[in-house]
Amino acid sequence: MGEANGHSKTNGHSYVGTRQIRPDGVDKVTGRARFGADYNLPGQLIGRVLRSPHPHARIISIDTSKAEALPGVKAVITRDDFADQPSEFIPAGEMMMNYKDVVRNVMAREKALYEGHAVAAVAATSVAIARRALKLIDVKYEVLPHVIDVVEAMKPGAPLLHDDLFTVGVEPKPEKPSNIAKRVEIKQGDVEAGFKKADVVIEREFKTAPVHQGYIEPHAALATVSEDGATELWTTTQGHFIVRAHCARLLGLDMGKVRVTATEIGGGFGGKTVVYLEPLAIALSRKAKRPVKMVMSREEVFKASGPTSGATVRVKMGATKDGKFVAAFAELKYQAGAFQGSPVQPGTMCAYAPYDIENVHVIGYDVVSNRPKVAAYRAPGAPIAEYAVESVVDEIAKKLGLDPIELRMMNAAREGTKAAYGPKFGPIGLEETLNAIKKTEHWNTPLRKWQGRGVASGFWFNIGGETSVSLTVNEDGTISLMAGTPDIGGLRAALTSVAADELGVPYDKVRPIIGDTGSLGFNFLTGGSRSAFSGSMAIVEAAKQIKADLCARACKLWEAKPDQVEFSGGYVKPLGALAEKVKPMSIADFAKVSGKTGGPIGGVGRINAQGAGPSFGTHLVDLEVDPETGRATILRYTVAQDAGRALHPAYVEGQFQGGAVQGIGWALNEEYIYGSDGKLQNAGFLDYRMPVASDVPMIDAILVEVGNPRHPYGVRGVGETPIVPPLGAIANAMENATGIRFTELPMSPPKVLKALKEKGLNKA
Amino acid sequence: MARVVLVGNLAQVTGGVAEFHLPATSVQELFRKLGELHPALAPHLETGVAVAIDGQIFQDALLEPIGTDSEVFLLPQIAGGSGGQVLQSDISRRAAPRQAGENVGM
Amino acid sequence: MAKHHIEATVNGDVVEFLCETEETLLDVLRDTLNLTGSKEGCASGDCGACSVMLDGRLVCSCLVLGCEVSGRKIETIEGMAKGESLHPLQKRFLEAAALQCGICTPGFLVASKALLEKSPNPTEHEVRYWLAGNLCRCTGYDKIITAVMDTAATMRKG
Repeated sequence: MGEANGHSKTNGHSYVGTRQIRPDGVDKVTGRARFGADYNLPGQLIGRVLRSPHPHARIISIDTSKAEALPGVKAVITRDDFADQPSEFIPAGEMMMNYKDVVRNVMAREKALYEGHAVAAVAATSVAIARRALKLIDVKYEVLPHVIDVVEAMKPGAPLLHDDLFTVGVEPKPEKPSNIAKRVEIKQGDVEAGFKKADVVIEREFKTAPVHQGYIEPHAALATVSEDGATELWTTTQGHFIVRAHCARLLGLDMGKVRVTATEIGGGFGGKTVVYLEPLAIALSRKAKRPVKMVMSREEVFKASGPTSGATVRVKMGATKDGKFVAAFAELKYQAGAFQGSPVQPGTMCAYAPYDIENVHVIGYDVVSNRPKVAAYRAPGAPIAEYAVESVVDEIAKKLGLDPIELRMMNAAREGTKAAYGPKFGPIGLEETLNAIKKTEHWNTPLRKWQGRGVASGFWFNIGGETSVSLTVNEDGTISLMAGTPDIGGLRAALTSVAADELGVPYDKVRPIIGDTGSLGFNFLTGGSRSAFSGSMAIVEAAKQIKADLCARACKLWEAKPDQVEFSGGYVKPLGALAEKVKPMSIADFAKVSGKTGGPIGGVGRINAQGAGPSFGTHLVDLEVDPETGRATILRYTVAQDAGRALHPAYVEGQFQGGAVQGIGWALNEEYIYGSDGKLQNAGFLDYRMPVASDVPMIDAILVEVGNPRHPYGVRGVGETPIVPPLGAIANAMENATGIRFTELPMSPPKVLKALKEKGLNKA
Repeated sequence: MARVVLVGNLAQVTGGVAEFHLPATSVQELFRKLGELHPALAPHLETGVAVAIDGQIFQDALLEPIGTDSEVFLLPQIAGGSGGQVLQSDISRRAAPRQAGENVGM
Repeated sequence: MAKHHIEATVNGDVVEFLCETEETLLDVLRDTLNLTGSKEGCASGDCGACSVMLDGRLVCSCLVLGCEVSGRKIETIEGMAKGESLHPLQKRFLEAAALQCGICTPGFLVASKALLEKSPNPTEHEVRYWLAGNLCRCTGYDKIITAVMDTAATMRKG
């Protein structure tokens, strides 16, 4: 087990690892906390977007004159209000994006590429007038044939979305454009030779549907632009510095003149790492010379913001009869939506990462189709790949008569295992999670007819990234902590514990806020399971500066040498003989004399956090199928995941539980349903059916802690891994309950019932 | 000499050569030498690779040291690093925004 | 068409406001009365983030019109705490980490309070079905259900 290293414990008390009340909590339980749509400015206008009703159409002309003439309309924008962007890839969260595509996704240019694609926007003095204005905008479309399904989109002769899209990653370079943006590949060893050695080979093809992150809070932005171009923006986002960068780029502004405040955020899960309304609100405000507020409706969220990919995945695995995996092949075809950039690359890298396999070959295709551009969704790319792999692993276990946990244990990646995507793993906790599941009462409870049990493992790389925090000592000795990564689920509690421990002050004397882009150095967005990992690392740096500064001041005050003083437990303490002459000074004592000893006291942590350690998890689920309706009820669910070191155990458990339930929804019910006309039929919470409280049981969370040696507290990011194992675990449980291997998600009641009927099993 | 392995599509750019032995004491030096050997590789090194040195993954870490017997993997970047830096240099190049209509008023 | 002039009681205070025919109670609360604690997640009564009490009955305020509440009594999340004391549910939610992003929390608190006033000793099953009209995407419901049941036990004691 890894050991956390390098951090100082307070005098006996440590907040890290305990369940403190989150500092932002009272505002959240009283309705005081302000989310994106809760901000208003005097004189503000309401902005609304006109969206394409067609999944694929050329935009011949846009006539906004009647809308502009409507009393109460103060600004109308179209593609003409955005300069075109040259093709340039930039990293964005865990995927790459291209500005040429971003400007077109924000406002359609040559074509509308999905139903819901923004074509124009208005700002008016009321919602009613804005709605009327949209109806007065005359857009002439040339409707084109559309394509939704990824396999259909790959076929030669499929409707072409972009005539300048030539597949990257194939030799020789294609002469004709297609909908295949990229082919990626990772290879290790020789799979053909490996399959020849295998005693059992299982090959299956799987299909998943697009699913939405499902955040309860729709996108919202409020922008105000002054006559000198200074811009203020409030937006619900996972990355306000990224929003600033995108808006500055798209609108030709200096970043320093754009101040973005991240409001409280009502869920993101990766879907709020991109811009939709922000550039529109700024452009409208600039034109109207008044603040503009824009909020998406739920229908717009489904139709115009990025869900994750739907996919077709083929998996072929071979094992010798003792259970050793000897060869693993996979081909992943992921939908990117209207513009390239599906998470197929991380999907290829994650697919076999939990296992130590000598021969691996994974191919991935990034394919465009007439749907909203995909955005990241919690461990992007991995749940789909793991669903397929973990299903086949389970079939291998059955075929060989091996216990599914033992089989995984036998092949589990460990410290020193070379991952199929290249480097060797450092200390990791996969085996620990498998053992933790094996020991549960859950694993050992007998089941009845129509009940099935499934297990699956998964992982996510996790990232570090650029982070800036500041710690300020106020004149009364209290501490102001400013972080720059939006708090999506308890981050401020975790960071406060770290700051309190580092400085040796009580928890409630530290007050955290999330600073705006004008108040801090650059922070990469909240995503990649990085905010607690990187934020705590930066706080350690900031605290180091304060401690060193206080020791230096003490030396001056006490006329002492550096080796005669030390910082410990919130105090600078005199050592040796000096202790007889002077008394220790607390941070508050120094704060009182800060002016006299050099000025205000504070520290900043500005780092590019490296050393993020992967988090492995294993999930166990029992479910019961009603053979008369096809409905699967989750009876019991246990998550065991490696957190490295849980800064706040309750919020870490919360990540496990939340991700598991999102996975339950993805596996059993959620999907985008398109008509043959390419239009979304279930753009609301009634028919896009996410789990409710009566659908799920308690989710038991087992915290495994294999310390990450590269973090001062041993922390590993935990946010994303929990959504990776559920799809496979639930598919495996369904197979055990029904005898049917479901290779298509979701395993919704109509589909299950149909499969049961085909086998004559649909009776209790 | 460090052993350097290109993962995934990167080897396509070098005509299939996926493994190198190069003397380099930092990531920056390694990128420069690889770029000299295979010019088509250089833009990829600038914009989107993660580097694993003896098993530890780094993103955007040009100054990270490489030991004499290190094993280095170049992987597709798992996550964005300094998106801000890329954009900053770009903004200064494009000082005059090309706007149709409204004056930016700076 | 002229706006409607409405008088109602909100969290114990008499208020009067003007509203359009098509404005919902949620719109009025948030945009006219500046009570932004109730949230809009869907505007179709499917997510419960806008939950309020109307004459003692739990409703989705996005499914009630502003002009329907003349002379009626409305209670929102803003009225749940009494002065400086949080309601036991609010306190327990914080202790139990029963919220992550917090957008659904006002709706859950209003709905849970309604449940406990009606049924002070609910089973886990009853709690889950009563709260099935409130969507949460972050927590997986586990800690919310536990917090409600713990609070029920606490409130029964004293």
